[in-house]
Amino acid sequence: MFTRERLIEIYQRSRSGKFMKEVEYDLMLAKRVQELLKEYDIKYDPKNVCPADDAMADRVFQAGLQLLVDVGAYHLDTQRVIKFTKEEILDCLRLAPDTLNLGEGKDMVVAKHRNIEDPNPPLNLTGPAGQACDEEYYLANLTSYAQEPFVDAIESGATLTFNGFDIMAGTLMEVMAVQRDAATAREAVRRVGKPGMHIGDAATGMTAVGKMAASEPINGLRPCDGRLVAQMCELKVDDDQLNRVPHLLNYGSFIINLMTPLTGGVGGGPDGVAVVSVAETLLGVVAYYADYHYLSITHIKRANNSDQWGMYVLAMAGQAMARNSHIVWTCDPFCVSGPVTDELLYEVAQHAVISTVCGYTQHGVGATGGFEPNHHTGLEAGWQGEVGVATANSGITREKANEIALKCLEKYEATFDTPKRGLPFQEAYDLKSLQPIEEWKECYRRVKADLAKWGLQFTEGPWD
Amino acid sequence: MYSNWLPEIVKRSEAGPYIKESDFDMKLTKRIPELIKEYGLVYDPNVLVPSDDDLANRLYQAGMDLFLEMGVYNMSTQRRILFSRDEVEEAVALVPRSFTVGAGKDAVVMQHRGVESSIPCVIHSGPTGTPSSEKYHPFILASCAQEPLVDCLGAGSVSTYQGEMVIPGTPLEILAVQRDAAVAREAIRKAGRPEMHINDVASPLTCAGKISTYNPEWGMRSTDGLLISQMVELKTDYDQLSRVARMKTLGMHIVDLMTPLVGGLGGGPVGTVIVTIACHLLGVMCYQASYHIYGHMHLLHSTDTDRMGLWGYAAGGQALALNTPIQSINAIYTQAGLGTEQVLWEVAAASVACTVSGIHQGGVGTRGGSTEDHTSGLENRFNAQVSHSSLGMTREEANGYVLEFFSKYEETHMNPPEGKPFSEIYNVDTLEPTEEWLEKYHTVSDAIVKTGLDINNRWKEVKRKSN
Repeated sequence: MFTRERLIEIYQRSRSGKFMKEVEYDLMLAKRVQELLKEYDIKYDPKNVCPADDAMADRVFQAGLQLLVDVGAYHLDTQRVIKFTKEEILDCLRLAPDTLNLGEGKDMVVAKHRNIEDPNPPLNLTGPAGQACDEEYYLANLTSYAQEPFVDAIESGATLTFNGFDIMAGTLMEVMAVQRDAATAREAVRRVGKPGMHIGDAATGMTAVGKMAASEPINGLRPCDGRLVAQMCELKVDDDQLNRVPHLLNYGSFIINLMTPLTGGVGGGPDGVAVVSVAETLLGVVAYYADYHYLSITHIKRANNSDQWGMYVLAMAGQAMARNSHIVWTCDPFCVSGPVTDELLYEVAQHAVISTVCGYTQHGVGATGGFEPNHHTGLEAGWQGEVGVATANSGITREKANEIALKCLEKYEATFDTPKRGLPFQEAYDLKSLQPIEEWKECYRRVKADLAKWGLQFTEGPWD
Repeated sequence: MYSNWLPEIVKRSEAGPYIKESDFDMKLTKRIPELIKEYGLVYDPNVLVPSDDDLANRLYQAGMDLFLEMGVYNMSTQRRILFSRDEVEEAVALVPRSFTVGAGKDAVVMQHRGVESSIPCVIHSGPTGTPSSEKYHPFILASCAQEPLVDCLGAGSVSTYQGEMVIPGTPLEILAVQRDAAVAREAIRKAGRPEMHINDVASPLTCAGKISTYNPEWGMRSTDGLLISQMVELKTDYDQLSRVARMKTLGMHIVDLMTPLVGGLGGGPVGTVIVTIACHLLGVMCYQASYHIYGHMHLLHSTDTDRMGLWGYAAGGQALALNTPIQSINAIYTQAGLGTEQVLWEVAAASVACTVSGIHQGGVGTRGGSTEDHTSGLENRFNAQVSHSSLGMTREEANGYVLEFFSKYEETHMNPPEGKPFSEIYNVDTLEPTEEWLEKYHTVSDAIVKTGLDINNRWKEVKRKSN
């Protein structure tokens, strides 16, 4: 147990820990991950992307815990390693919340820890997942998310300009843009009659100053909302990220630990990245005081997680945390396809199915892997929530989830090298009625019919 | 006329003429003596409060010329932000002549005062530029907030958090400043003045630190202020400018802090006043400040109660008061330590010079702000009494008083008594000054009354009229 305020202790360790060049730390981490995979007998099988193996899930957790104990966290500013003992990590994990009241008033939702194959449907805390949106369409775009019936919270995405000027991080333009975007998210939830809906972040903010500028209880983000505190790949922190923690703790806002472990990166293949994901989650618990966690697995080249590697990391890291902790955590589908394509909805669906049976709450969606500005809409986000609810209600097992996910994969795998980026929001929606165009609704109906055929029992959806 | 200046300032920061910082400094240093000659500006060390409107007007014009020619140096981009005369004159014309700080029954109206004004100064207080210890910080702030003649409180700064040195840009800074904002809020609540204006939390040195103080429940509110600083001379950066964007949206009062150095790039007192006027224009154009801290100080001795500093207050204050609706508060940096007679004489001299020259009263930084805990409520009470008693005085009369008060400490000014910290001159249980500190206060007060300025009674008349 930490004997003095944890933040001060972390600060001290970031100044007095072992000095190490970043590249040396990366090499140490890469090497240790491979050793742990052998030591804990963790193996990846591309035909079984959602293994039903409790013992392996426990071993992934133990390996992740050991990784954090062995390599610690790297502080990019001081180039020092912040170490934690196993007891400290487990103490913090015990103190982490298992239930969160997100939002306020009638729009508040209760997010609870979910177990493997949990019959309680997951919440869907969604949004453009930090993807770029033109300021011209920003309000309409966020409203398209907030109005979806299977959406429980939104996150304000990112804009790139303010009054047409490029937003440079660390300048007053960032502060102005963040304030505008936080107020826009607030306006979006108000417009759909859900003024107390939880807003998960103001993603335009890239610096601590930007993130903090969103704090404003009337027009901006309230204590019942949240803000991301990010880790850099892999297991890296800096003062700019850590500075957000005391502010958010005092403001009383939810802290969300954002992790973007790279498949094919320092962690290696999917088995190694599953271990790294567990370690990063634990680091978020200890260093960021995270209320909930946001796992955004990213393929090093395609920036997606809808391939077999991404599916396996999602499944194993999820099961490891579901069985060995009581935390609330979320994940997002990063997809190669864009709106108004069937492929995007299959990519989202497989993610929703696996994550629901593996203990996650839903978060999303990163259409086109974030490569195309404006290529994200409320429809695919609502679809993710709808699939998650149907998965839980249908009693889908891990074996069945594996089967459905691989069927989905067949529908889009061939497009990985030539992805279908689809249409931008302003073409995928009627901007007056804020309804998806007929073609987009047809994609939804077609894919939904397939998923129903494969075993999901849907109730009536918004675009049937 | 621009309706949205901030994006334009970023645009000019990115596209303005590139210049190395040292070249900018050289250009400024070279231009100032030319302006002094051009406008026939002269400093007379025997007249600390000049009564020359024409001199004041020429000083203002020189400051305006300097600002237009130099522009503002953005240290982040190493470029000059330039403004046209029309733009500056329009912005100055739009500066509000009065506004409210604080809220509810504790609100006060800050009004443009003019030269020889009968409008009472608003009395700011708090540990001006003087660090406080974690232990005594809450008591020091409470000792200021409880003073009936004090209108506003500055939260001051504390350099440690739970014993650890606070390094700017780290989480310790955020933790420390949030604590300090809460301590200030608690100090005014304890004093029964829960909505008194808090003019700053000085612990943070970064934008992240400053903006983390905002929290309407326990920290800073929209009715409070935060400082946005200029770097010497006429310099800003994106860290400072980003605060403007945040504070404008929150509706907070922006307080423009400048610290022109007498003996620095501006040269002697005349050059420094020219720079100070230009700095005020920077605060109007780039920071859209509600009010300004007229914070010039001696390069070596960190004081503004020497001859040059007092003249600077009087001459620059008059220049701004006669030519603009801009409002400033002083920041009296004394050489003497707390609990001494000399510190009170230094305060008295600056207080009179500023009051007749249109400047409101800021706080007192004893020992040039160099010594921890050398700050308390009593010297702020004294400052208010002297200031209120000086209302309606002519500049000639004021000059007589300032010279007399200055004569009380001129000999020992640069070899001052060290004084004692707060914990030795206040009872921290009762929050009352000790007999020793009160005795010195009464001794100096009585001596000032004997000079003809009845500071024991005259303030009562002023408060009766203004309440």
